[in-house]
Amino acid sequence: MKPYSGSNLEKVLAAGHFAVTAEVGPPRGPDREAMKNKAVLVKGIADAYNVTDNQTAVVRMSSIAASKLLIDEGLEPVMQMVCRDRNRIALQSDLLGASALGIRNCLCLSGDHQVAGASGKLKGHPGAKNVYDVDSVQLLSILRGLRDEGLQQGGDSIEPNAPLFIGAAWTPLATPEEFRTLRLAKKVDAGADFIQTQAVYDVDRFARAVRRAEDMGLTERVAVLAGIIVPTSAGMLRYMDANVPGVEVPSALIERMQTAADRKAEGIKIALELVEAVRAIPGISGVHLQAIEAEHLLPEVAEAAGLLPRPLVA
Amino acid sequence: MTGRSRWAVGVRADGQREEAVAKEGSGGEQNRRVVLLYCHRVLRQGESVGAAADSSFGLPIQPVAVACGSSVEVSHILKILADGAAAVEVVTCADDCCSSLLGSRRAQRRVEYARQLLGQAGVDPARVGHTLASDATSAEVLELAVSRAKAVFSEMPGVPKGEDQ
Amino acid sequence: MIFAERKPLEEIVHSLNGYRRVLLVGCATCAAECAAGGEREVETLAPLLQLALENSGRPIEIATAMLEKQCEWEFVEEIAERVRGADAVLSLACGIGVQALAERYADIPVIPGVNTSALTMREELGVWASRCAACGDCLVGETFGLCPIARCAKSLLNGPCGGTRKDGKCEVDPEIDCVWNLIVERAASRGQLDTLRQNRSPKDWSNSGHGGPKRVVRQEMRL
Repeated sequence: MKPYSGSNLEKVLAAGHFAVTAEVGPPRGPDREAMKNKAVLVKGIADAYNVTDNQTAVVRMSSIAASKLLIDEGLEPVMQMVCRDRNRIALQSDLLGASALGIRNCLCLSGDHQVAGASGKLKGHPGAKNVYDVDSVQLLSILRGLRDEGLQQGGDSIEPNAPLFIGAAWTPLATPEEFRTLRLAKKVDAGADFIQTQAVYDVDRFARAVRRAEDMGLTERVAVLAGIIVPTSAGMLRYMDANVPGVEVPSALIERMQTAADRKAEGIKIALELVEAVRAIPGISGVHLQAIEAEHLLPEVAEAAGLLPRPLVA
Repeated sequence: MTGRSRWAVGVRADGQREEAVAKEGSGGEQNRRVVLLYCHRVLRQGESVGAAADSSFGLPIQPVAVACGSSVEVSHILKILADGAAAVEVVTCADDCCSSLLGSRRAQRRVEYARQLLGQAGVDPARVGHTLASDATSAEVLELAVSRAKAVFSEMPGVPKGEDQ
Repeated sequence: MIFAERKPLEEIVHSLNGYRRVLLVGCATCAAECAAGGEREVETLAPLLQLALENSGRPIEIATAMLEKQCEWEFVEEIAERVRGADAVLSLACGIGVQALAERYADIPVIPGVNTSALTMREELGVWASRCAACGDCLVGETFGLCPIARCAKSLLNGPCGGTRKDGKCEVDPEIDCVWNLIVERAASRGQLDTLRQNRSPKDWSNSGHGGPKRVVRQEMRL
């Protein structure tokens, strides 16, 4: 029996509710107010809120600091942690710090390579030395060691154990598709408690992937939250379909956004349909809501999808 | 281990080239020529290429027959230019006639590369060119060298775009 | 082989600033194999530098030499006389060779003319690709003969990440294959896909460059 981490997300899932997480991107600067404003915008729509970690290798306020700011605003963070920038010493140190600050959920990711930071108008830091001392699967084990055994990766003890609810990502439709269920199994074996998937648009294909995971007994061991990104234009959907690995968008959806009279309304409608559809898939325990550069849409989506109010679990 | 000394070509402080200072090679204005590197197989049976005294710019053409287009190396081209030649024209057999099958293509790649390097060095890439030919007369081949000179001199500042003298 | 590429010409020209007699030295081993510093490249670079420097109005004399290897003292010794006539040496060898020349000919500036960047294999004519990262703890036998440290952009041991492109290329560089996709394919073709479920622990990097500059002594080989 895993020790309870103290996380609200964990409680909600344990009580059998359909969970909701949402994403909050930290600002590109030390502005606490900016983080506060984002928090105010989305407060109450989710059980926990992901705080990204220098996503796409663009320097932003650190996820640990931004997570603490969310806590100060009464929101529960899911601190994202990538392997690109810090070695096992720094990662473990940050986890102890995060734990001390009251952060209870952590999502472990490999992280985009630093070349990703130099794109569009941004210069980023493509010349930085990357780390990748450990990968996301190893990081999951490290977190489990800190929580269950009170041990660091190298064997030294910590005092006390660090209470954590451990998350991982899953991209079930990326090449090689036939291996993605096994990779999920690896993450579950390593210590993942909950999973957030890459954005779902092709529900049938996604459902088949979840079924394969179910056949391997994985959905009993881990809570899977389906990723939903609210569409804002046909162009955005086309872009993601072509460029984001694991995102498969049926042409019917692109068509709908293309011909819609009110794009915003249509995007929300599609998001609602997706939430409805994934909710019906056995093995799916919740949704992870995102709106790129448009967090203000999320409360509307959560409301219309019947996900509000979020349960208060003792 | 091989060791070779190279030429010294003096350059005056005002940037004007002083070929008279060259220690090796013919030196001086005598080096200012258009070199024609041609695969001997581009020629029609019985033709042979003699040196042509002028091109339209008063430059001598120095024809050099090679056994195969693939024997032309990038270093040869660059050495010829560094030695003072105004331009180098490489002529090799049209694709389906090349008896070594790829010799011509190799020559083309190497000329492209030489032009790229020249560009990086701040030197006019037009100073080297490549043409495919087959069953050519001596006059036709020499004309290619003349065209090469024209291509170079129409780019050079301060030199009137030449017509025949 | 140790892979290197010629530095941008402007950089070399700039680094030759002020020198009047330069000895350009190539290496007939790795540098020649990757077409960066062999005889052909030396004989190409010398006239090219001449042409480039003419343009900038600086007189320079460039002499050329070739060594079998620049990382062996016996070969390095061969150019002792020639070095005396120069005020700088431009080496087209990898960083090891450049330093050997600099150590033996400590009175004269030795300038690198190439950037050493990888350990590669020549896949085909004109194409070199990274194969080894000198991690000091080779596990290629466990990954079906494909090295994820050198060939995965994130050096994952439990890959692939979620970024493999649809065509099986790496998200970081569309020209390179996702090596984990190749590993999975190979495992599948041998009916051993299940072995990849086994999670690999964090790597011990201490035997690689991360552990510090190496100095290895084999006493039994010393005189």
